[in-house]
Amino acid sequence: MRYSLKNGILWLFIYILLALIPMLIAIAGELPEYRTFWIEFGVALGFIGLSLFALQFLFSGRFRRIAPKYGMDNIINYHREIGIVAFFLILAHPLILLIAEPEFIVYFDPRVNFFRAIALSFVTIAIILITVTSIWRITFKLQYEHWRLLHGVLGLAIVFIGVTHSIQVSHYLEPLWKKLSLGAVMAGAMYLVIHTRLVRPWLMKKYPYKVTDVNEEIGDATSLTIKPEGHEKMNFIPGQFAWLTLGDTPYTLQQHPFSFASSASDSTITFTATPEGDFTSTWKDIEPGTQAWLEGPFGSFTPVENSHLFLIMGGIGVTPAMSMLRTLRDEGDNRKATLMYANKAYDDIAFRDELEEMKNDIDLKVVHVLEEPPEDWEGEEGFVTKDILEKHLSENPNEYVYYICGPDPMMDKVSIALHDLGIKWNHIYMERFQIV
Amino acid sequence: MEKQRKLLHKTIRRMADLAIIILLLACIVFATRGF
Repeated sequence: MRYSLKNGILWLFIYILLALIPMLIAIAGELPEYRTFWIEFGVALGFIGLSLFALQFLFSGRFRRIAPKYGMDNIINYHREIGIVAFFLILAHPLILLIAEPEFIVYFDPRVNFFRAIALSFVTIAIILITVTSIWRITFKLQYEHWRLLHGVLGLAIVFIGVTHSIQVSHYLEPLWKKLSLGAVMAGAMYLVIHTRLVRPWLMKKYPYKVTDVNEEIGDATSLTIKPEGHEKMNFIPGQFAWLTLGDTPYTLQQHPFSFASSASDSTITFTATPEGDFTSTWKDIEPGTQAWLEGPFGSFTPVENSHLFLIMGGIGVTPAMSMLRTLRDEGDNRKATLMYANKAYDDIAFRDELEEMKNDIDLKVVHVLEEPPEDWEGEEGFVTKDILEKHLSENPNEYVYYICGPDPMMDKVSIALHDLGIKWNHIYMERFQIV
Repeated sequence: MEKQRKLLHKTIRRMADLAIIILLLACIVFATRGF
C-alpha cells in the first residue's frame, strides 16, 4: 500500500492543486495590466513559493489522515525535498524581479517603507536559516527540541510575512475579495501549525495517563506502563507509535516517538526503551504516578490483513514486533509468525522468556541471531545475512509480509537480501526514526 | 549500501521534482497569460 503508483499519483494531483490555489486566486476576475514576461514570471514564483511553504505545514507528517497512508518517513522525506526546492524558488522571486526591474529595490529600502524593508529582509534571512538549520541540524549541534521550536516559528513567520507582502503589493489581489480569499487560505495553513503545537497539547490535556509500572527488562531495557485516567486508552494498531511526553504538562518541547510494545487489547499501554538518549536514560528513575501524555497513533508499520508475519528485528527495535505478537496472542489470531531477532549477546535478548512462552499460544517461530554467542549456543551466529534469511524463509515466501526494525545498517542489508531472495518490494516494511 | 532507501528516496525526489516542474510550467503559463 505504501508504494502503490495510484497513491503516488493521487498525492501529486492533490499537492499540485493545493499549490496552485494562490495563483488561481490571483488570476480570478479582472487581470491587471501585463508587464514583461520576467516580471510576471518572478511574481508567479512568489505565489508558488508562498504556497509551497504553506503546504509544508500540511505535509509535516503530524496529520493522522495522511501519515498512515503514506508512512511518516516518506512524508518527511518529501517535506525535505520540497523544502530545498521551495528555498530556491522563493529566493528566485526577488532576484528575478530585481534583475528584470532594478527599481524594485525600493522594497528593501527602509527610507521608503521601514516596516516593509525590515520584514522582507527578515524573511529572506529566515528562509536561509530554516533551510540551513534543517539540513545541517546535527552539524550545528542544534538540539532536536530547539530545532523543532525554531522550525515552527520560522515557518510561521515566513508564511505570515509572505502573505502580508502579497496583500500589501496588491497588484494581482486588487478587489478586496481576492485579498480576503488568499488571507483565509493562508490563515488555514498557519492554523495547522498552531493546531499541532498548541491545540493538540490542549486536547492531550483532556486525556491524561499515569505511569503505573516501571520494569527493568533483560538487556538493560526499561518498560514503562501507563494507564489512562478517566478515559479510554488510545486505540492503536500494533506496529504504530506515539509521541510521549512525561511530566505535569503536555506543553513542553520534550516529546519523543516510541513504538507501542503492548498488546492492542490491553487496557494499559507499555513502551520499552534502552537508555540511548537523555530522555530514555531517565526511565529507570521514573516514579510510578508520574503524569504522561500521548499524541498519536502514527505509522503504517502495521500487519497487513490475512498475511503471515516475518519480523526481522534488531535489539530494542523489537518493540513493534512485541506489540504485534502480543496482540496475535490476545486476539487468538492463528496466522503464522516468524521472529528473527538479532542481538549482541544472550543477555541482551529482551523478552526472551515471554517469547518462549508465546510459542505455546500462537503459531510462532523464533530465530535468535547473536553477534557474540555463548559457547554452547545452538542458534544462528553473527549478523542477519542472506544465508540465514534463506534458511528460515517459508516455501512460499511472498505469502508473508516482512517487517524490519533495528539499526540502520541492519535494515539496509536485510532489505537488500530479502529483495535478492525474490521478495517483492511492497512486501517489505521498514520503520526508521532517525529522520530529522 | 543503502540500496532500498536510496531507491525510495529517489522515487520521492522524482515525485517532488515532477510537482515542481508542473508548477514551473504553471508559472510560465501565468507569465505569458496563456490561460
